[in-house]
Amino acid sequence: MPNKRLNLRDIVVISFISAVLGVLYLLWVLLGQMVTGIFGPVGGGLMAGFWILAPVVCAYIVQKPGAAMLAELIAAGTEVMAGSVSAGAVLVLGFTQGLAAEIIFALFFYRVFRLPVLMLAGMAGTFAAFLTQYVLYGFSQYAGSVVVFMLITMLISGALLAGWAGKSFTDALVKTGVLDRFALGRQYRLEQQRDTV
Amino acid sequence: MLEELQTRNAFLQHVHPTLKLLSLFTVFFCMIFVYDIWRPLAVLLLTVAVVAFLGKVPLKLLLGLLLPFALFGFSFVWLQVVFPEERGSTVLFYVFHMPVALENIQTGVSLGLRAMVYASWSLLFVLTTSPVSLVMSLIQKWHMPPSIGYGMMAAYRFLPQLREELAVIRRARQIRGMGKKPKVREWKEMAVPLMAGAVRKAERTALAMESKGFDGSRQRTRYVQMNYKKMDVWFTAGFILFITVIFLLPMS
Amino acid sequence: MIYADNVTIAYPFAEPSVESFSAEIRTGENVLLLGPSGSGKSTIALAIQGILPRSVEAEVSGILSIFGENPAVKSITEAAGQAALLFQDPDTQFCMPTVREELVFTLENLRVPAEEIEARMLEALQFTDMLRCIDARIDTLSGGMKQKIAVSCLAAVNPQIWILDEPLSQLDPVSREAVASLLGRIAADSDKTLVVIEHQLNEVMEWVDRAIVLNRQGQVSADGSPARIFNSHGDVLEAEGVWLPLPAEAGKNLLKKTETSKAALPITLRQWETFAADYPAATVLESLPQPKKASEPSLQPSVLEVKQAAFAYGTQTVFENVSFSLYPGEMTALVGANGVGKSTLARVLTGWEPPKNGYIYVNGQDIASLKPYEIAKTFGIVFQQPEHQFLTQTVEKEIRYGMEMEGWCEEDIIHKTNELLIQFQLGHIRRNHPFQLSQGEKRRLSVAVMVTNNQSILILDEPTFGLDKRNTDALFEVLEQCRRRGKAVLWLTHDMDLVYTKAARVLALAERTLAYDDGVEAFFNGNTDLEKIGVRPPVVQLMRPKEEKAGSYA
Ligand SMILES: Nc1ncnc2c1ncn2[C@@H]1O[C@H](COP(=O)(O)OP(=O)(O)OP(=O)(O)O)[C@@H](O)[C@H]1O
Ligand SMILES: Nc1ncnc2c1ncn2[C@@H]1O[C@H](COP(=O)(O)OP(=O)(O)OP(=O)(O)O)[C@@H](O)[C@H]1O
Ligand SMILES: [Mg+2]
Ligand SMILES: [Mg+2]
Repeated sequence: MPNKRLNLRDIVVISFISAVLGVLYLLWVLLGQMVTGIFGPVGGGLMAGFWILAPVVCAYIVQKPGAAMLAELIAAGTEVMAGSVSAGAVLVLGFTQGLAAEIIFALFFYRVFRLPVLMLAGMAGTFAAFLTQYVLYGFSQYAGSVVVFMLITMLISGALLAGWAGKSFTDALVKTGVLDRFALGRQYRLEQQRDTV
Repeated sequence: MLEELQTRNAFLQHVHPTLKLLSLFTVFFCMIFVYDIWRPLAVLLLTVAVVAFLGKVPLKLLLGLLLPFALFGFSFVWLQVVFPEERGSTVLFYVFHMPVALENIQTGVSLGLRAMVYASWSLLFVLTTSPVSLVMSLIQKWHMPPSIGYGMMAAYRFLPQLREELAVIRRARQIRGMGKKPKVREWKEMAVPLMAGAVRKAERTALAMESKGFDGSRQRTRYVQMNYKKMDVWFTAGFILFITVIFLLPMS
Repeated sequence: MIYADNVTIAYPFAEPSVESFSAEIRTGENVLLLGPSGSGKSTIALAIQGILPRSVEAEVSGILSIFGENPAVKSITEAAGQAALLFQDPDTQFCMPTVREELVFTLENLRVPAEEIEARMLEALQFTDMLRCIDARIDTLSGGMKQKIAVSCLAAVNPQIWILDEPLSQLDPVSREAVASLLGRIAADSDKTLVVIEHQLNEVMEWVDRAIVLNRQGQVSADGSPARIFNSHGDVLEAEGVWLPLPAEAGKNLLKKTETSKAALPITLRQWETFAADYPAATVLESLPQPKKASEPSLQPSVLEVKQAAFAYGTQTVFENVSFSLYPGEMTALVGANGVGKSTLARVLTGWEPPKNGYIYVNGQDIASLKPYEIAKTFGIVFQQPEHQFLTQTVEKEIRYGMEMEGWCEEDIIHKTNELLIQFQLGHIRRNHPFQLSQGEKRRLSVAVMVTNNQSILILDEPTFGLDKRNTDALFEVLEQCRRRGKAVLWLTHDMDLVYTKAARVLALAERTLAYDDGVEAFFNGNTDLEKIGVRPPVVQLMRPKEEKAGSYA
């Protein structure tokens, strides 16, 4: 349902989903740090998509402007409140990643939420993460080949971990019926009804 | 434990959360232009000292939290050595026929220290700021919409229940799925009901909020006021001094 | 001030839950909304505050106005200040972690000046005698304590319209009396309008001055003063399966027995006394329900043996030194005040939480040595919150689940499922989502899924709360069947009248330990310190002729 504003229920539900994902992010960070420490940012790049789950999942469910941005900010906020050791970076990244995913959904006028669009949003998110880290951690000091390689792994990760995995998880969630009052759940119910008729 | 630290009666804990957040971003921004070793090192040591003394955070805990970052920081060094933008001319030694230049080690160490600085400032913020006061000040001073603020707070408060929720789901499966042995896959299967539980809880919370007259508007009275105090002036003054000495003076 | 004309409410993808509901409620009236489970009482309550359709999606047609305005178009704050709602589901009441924050949040929303908040908060908590819990985390309170906090929240708002959806159903008898009399105080205020939904009518009869009866479709089938409703529409009510006040029920019995007639049936205890005074004591006594005889000492080995069990949450001891055994074919009730630890004991008995001390033997084996699925084979467990045990997406699948797990053949499954759907009146909603049922329907479903299995022990945590009469009777028919087949049935409850008529044995928790373990007759015969246990004698016992009350019968 395009061009509708987020209401209180949307906001609270987005908050809860993103908070739960925020906790998972934190655990993922630990894993990510280890991988990055050992294999360098390139290896870490493969993990990057996970951090775009919140905007993809929430935008897919609610299908309203602002959902993706809000989701990622809240996930970042949760990480900070739960005591993330990289609070500052997390907040900055939360902003840029959320914004990037949001832009993709906006480009499709918040009407299309098929797999390719979700994957695109995931890639946009990791691309933003790449840019942010480029500036924050001084990637300009590295050889171009490494940087490009890293960007590629991050984009792949964004498409798969955020876009594809996010969609399949949400599709499983829809079947439980808890999303019936949201755009996605309504579509699912309508389809089901059509099938039974 | 985190909560206990965040509410300790120490200087940093009393500083207004919005100021701490602002200074955090300022430091991040300033660090972007730094490629030498001494400034990040100075900032790092200073920050650790400030958190330990003005925030009354045990030094041991602080260093323990920073340690994993040292590993993360180290990755910058070897990456810089192996894949530098531009190889330095002061070659120190060779590893497998690869020249290792002083300049590259320097840049690497600087970048690594930068990551540690980010971490230490994050710790300054996280270890001395209670989430509730953060959200309250964001609502009151930075115009965060109350619906987002209270929504976030409700969600954050729900997190400890997540474990209980998980226990209930497992329990129900055990009671109902008789004779079925628990599997490794069980955990994966439980992610969906767990998230479903969170969504349901969220809807209920939203319902309860509305029935109690919460409309998300700014027009509400404030039982707890998040005002700026004298501490905040001291903090701001100290912070400006710190930024000037470390980042601005060396430039001119 | 509440005006409804032809209001029809339908949830998405469903038949209307309420059909052409019409009523006019004036300021100061105290209205009882009665009806069978699933008739749409809670739905109407939500619509009066405007939450439905504002936040709960549903189609509302017809005219509904509160103070002359459709509640759904009012501002949220205004609507909440005018009409406050106590939700039926205790889990839906709260949005903040602690009691204090909840009250502050409520008062801030209503724009109460900051300096007044403290005073209003304290006053509201004093109202329900819950001041000592002001800094407690809400999720660590027992079900009944939560209900009292919810009433405090309403008191803090102090609205003109109080909508109470089963305010008493989870309270222990002493708290019931206390909260009912608090509500009585509100009812006495001629500026306040009360709309109460309640199945157990004895307390509310004292101050309700009008009753509106809904039928299964949510239409008004009777409307008027309680005396008139219970007298002239008694048969309608009976057909709908709703509870009558116990004095009215007994009065009807008495009239039938003596083949006499009277101008009016009694609906309160006081009226009952004058009513019954005209009949010989022996006849009156015969017409009243009798307690079960204590069962014969069982010769079979116990199925569950508890030895010196103790439990604590952190450092807070809930109970210690609890010892008892359950035998096959026993029907036992576990009673005790709110928060005394009944649900906790049930958790410990079923191996969810290990006891901090002592042992629990199931069929002679230490429960600590059993695997979860082995425990599941022995116990049928019904949680206090029905939703906690639902796993599937429709009512029908939910019922089938257990049988499928046990590997029944399809034919048996279909047969048994249909039987249960009829038995528990769930047939018409077989395709609905378990979470979207009315509270009573959820309760029935949670019980229905448990009685399909072949466990030797059934433990049910408040299985009857929110159930109308017909479903309560149906439930006990099923439980009685189970008992006769040799299961040990243990149910937790606050309803002493049910204990009196349905249980043979009573366990009571009080003061952190097992305070009573014996037959039901002896429990109520006057020698037990009911005050200490926090319960009251059942109403039917109070209705006995005076000289019989002390328990001189044997
Ligand atoms: N959210 C919902 N979505 C769809 N159907 C619902 C929803 N809530 C209730 N219903 C259905 O609407 C009908 C009326 O429900 P309601 O909760 O108003 O009943 P009730 O009279 O309060 O019953 P009880 O005494 O059991 O609480 C029920 O048949 C129920 O299954
Ligand atoms: N998870 C928990 N953590 C800490 N304390 C708890 C927890 N759950 C319950 N309690 C406390 O333990 C006590 C017993 O609670 P329990 O739910 O067993 O009571 P109950 O007898 O079932 O009451 P009710 O009749 O109201 O349901 C209460 O004082 C409650 O506050
Ligand atoms: Mg109801
Ligand atoms: Mg209980």
